Amino acid sequence: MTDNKFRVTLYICIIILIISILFALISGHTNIFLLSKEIRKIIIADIRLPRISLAIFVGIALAISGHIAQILLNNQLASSSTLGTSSGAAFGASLSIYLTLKSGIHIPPQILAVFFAVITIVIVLKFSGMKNKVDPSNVILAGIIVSTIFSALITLIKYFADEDVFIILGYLMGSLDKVPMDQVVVFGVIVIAIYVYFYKNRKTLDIMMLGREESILLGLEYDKLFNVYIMIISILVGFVVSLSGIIGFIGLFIPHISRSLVGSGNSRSLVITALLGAIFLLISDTITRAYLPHQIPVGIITTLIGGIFFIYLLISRRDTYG
Amino acid sequence: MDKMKVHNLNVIYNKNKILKDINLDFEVGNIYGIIGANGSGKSTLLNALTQLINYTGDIKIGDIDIKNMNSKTRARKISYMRQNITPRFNLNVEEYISASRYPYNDKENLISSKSSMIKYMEICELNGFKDKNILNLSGGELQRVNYCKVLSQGADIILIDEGFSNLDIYFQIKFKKYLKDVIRKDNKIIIMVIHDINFALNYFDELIVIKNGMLYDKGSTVKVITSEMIRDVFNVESNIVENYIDFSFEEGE
Repeated sequence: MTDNKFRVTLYICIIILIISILFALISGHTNIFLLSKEIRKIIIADIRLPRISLAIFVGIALAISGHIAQILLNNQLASSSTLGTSSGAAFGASLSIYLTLKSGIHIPPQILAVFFAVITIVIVLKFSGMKNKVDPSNVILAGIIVSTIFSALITLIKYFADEDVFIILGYLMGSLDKVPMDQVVVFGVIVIAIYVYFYKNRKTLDIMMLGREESILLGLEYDKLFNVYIMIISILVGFVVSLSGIIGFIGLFIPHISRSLVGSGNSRSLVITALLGAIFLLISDTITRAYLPHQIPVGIITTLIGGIFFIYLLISRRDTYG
Repeated sequence: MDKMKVHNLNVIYNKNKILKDINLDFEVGNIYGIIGANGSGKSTLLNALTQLINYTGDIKIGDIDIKNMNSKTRARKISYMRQNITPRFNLNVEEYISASRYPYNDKENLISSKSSMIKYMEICELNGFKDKNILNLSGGELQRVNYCKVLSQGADIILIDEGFSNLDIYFQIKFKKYLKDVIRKDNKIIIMVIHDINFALNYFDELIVIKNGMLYDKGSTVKVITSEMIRDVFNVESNIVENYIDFSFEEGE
């Protein structure tokens, strides 16, 4: 029963992904069918392909990090932004842009974004942990607090940036613009490696969904794995933010849809989460890039759709539980 | 299978002593009941026995301190059905119960894992439930699933904290009888926290009474259950007539 449903969902997702890729390749402000062969090749290979690949990898990364965060925090309304890592990474990236602008020396945003994502999660775990014991509800609380502090620090950088503020603002809004292919490839390898790692550990993730106590009773070294997994997704989020700014809500609602389609068992849901993340971000990005005026940042679209979904989710939960 | 020994067990939480100097021996093939007022430390004792909380003192199975056991070995020795387990993710019943075989998770054990699950799902009458979403189960159904899960874990020591409180009488009787008649005979140790003293009277091999974190009394049910104990521990008057306790409640001091 479930296996069949999974297979059907999997095939449909793969087909939709392929169609979205083709659709994205031919979509754009210039109609590629009217161009000469050479120029068409340049536009597709050098402009559209990097962006499409980036959309796919960022979509997978955000969806998977949200998926894992929800398991670790035992809460389906959590995501990597609940952990505070997005804000930490955004602060790191803003800082590097600011420093680059002021000093003239190029400081790659990746380094500071990942660094601050890791710092954030260390602070959050330090605040929320009591003698090595992990408490998910404390992690959420600490995550929100640390996230707020970093938001204030970002505002401070914006204030100091003066007329350069638009560069930081545009960056933070979340867009998949102007990332060169070599960086996309490196990022893609990281995303796939992390995905494979979690997929290999899908049985462990299944146990962790039962919560800390049940996991320990079944002989799983919960606290140790919790720290390893949370560190991995924080590093991943750091990379994502450094490449594409803050693209909201994908990590929250994609895993949710995936679990309601194929159930929570990670041998199924992890695959569907990754595919849906890729599909959703690619379609959103294609629409903003080719069909909406002014190349609106994709983060605005995902956050709008995600926010509406979030409200729907709260209402349906309220109705279910009375 | 070895007996379990608890020596000088102390649990301190927020500077309060929740359990004080508990010494207990659990013999193989016995079924133990733990009674006590709310907040007396019954669940804390079970949490300590399964390493869910920090404690001082020794808990040994045979000669081995369970603190020093590998975590999967420990899960094969001791299992625990906690009170009020609330699942958060939509697994189906079969997937959920299969978690109980995690401690055995290598490929050679796959067949025995499967057969262990099938056997206990039959006993708990869950075959029609296999594909049901655990989030949609009633309280009683969830207890049946969790009971099945704890049995399927196949540990030598089984702890149950008020595990049958939501079951209808058919399953209450069936499960309690099965524990006593089948599981206990299989050289296991069963320890149950229970509130129904009338039931306890005729069921357990030995009863452990906890009051304010201390061991108040232990021994055979007939020896332990007295009007005096019930007054001391529960602040309730009672009249024990043959195998039945008639409780009465007086307000004020």
